[in-house]
Amino acid sequence: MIYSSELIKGTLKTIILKLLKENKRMYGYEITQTVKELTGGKIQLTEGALYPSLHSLEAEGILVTETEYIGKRVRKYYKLSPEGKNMTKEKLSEFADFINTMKFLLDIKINNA
Amino acid sequence: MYCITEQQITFILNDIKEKGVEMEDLQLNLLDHVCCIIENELEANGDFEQFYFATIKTFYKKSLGEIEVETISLVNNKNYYVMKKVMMMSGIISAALFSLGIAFKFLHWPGASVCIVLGVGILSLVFLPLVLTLKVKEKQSTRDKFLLSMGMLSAVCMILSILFRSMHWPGSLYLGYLTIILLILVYLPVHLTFGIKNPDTKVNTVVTSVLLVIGCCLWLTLVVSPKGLQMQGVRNTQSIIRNNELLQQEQHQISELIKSHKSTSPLLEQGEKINALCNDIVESLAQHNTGLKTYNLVLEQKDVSINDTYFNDFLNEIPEAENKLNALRKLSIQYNTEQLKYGEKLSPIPLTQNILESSNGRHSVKVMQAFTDLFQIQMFILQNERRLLSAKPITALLQ
Repeated sequence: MIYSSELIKGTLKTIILKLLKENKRMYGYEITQTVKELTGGKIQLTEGALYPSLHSLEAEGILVTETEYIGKRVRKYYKLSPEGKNMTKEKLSEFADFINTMKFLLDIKINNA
Repeated sequence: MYCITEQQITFILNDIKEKGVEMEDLQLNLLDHVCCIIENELEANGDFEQFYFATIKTFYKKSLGEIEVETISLVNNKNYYVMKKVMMMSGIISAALFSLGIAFKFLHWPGASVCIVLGVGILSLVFLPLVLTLKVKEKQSTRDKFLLSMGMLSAVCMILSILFRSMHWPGSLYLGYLTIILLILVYLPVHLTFGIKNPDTKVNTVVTSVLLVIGCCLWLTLVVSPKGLQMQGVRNTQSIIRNNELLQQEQHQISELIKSHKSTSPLLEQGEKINALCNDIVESLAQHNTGLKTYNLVLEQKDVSINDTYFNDFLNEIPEAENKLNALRKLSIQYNTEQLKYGEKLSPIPLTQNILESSNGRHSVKVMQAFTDLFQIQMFILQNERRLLSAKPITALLQ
């Protein structure tokens, strides 16, 4: 099952921040592939959602960039700024709280077996 | 694994540009992304063009440009929320300050002006411009954006005009005229021209235009016309000249009487000093108001028009006038103490509810009121002198 874009939209920034926290720096394609691998293909980030979010996080000062030339083309690496590191903690704890609330609200029983 | 050539990179970059992506940063990101997909997923001997077009198609629904639109919208979104927050805060603060200022004003408490100025200032210089910035983004056509901007600019001018008027600051009338010009000559023609063409908006356009014209006319009925102002100025001048003539005749008669009685007294001397100071202030006030070099020119009525501006403007611009006014107040207090020695038949010079009051009390006093106050002070002295000369028991006190 691939999750709908509506579900992913609200969590995309949190996903990006968490990945960049784990990996020092990443470029766009690498992010999409890592998410695909980690979720067994259940979450597939589209380019139309990923790049606007990366640019927005960069404009907010949460991400900083480094560029490298790969032959003739330029590769833009994204990494967390000091402000971004704090933001990641906040976003993750906010999301954990959100999941608990949703579990309670929707009366979801998690099957650990 | 496919190996992309430099020509193919140039080809992809040009195609991305042609597909409507203008942001260089985004172009480079998308170029690298497509190249990565091709390198990893296309076989070494695969068809580059076919694979590329199939891949790039998965990036969008209608056109590649939508990624850029989404990027711009998200980047601006951050500012949007900050602006929205500031807008709401400034709106609440300005409304609170304005209401507080009005309440203070009605209760005659200090700080009313500060609250009103801050409230209206925040309203017209922070809140309304932010409302405009946020609302303009929601409008699609240039015409709607223009109309909204003109409407908001007119509103700011009108609010500032009212603030300037209530604070007695110069320029209130010009701001009002600017509002009318913007509304009638700029906003209305555009609003009418485009609104009347569309059958859906025709009725609304006509109704709002009529209301707009009526609103402007109503405002203009409250404003004195330039001709009216000139007539009022001439009337003011005549009034001052008549007061001057009355005073001179009276003063002449009284001085003749005093000479015939060969009388002297401290009260008469103080009265003379007050008279001289009053004349001095009247002269400089008339000269300041009319711009004429001598008071005699005012009395000769040569194209003279006294404008009923604020007395405080005169005091602020002529520093020595304030000193003269303070001296006049001091002399009047001395005079009032002296006149008590002559019994109840004499009248003291009023020290309140006129220009001799403290600076707070004369904040809204106008020039014509100041002329009348000075005239009355001199009349009080003349009246007392006449009483002194006519009452026998009091006359005994003279000499």
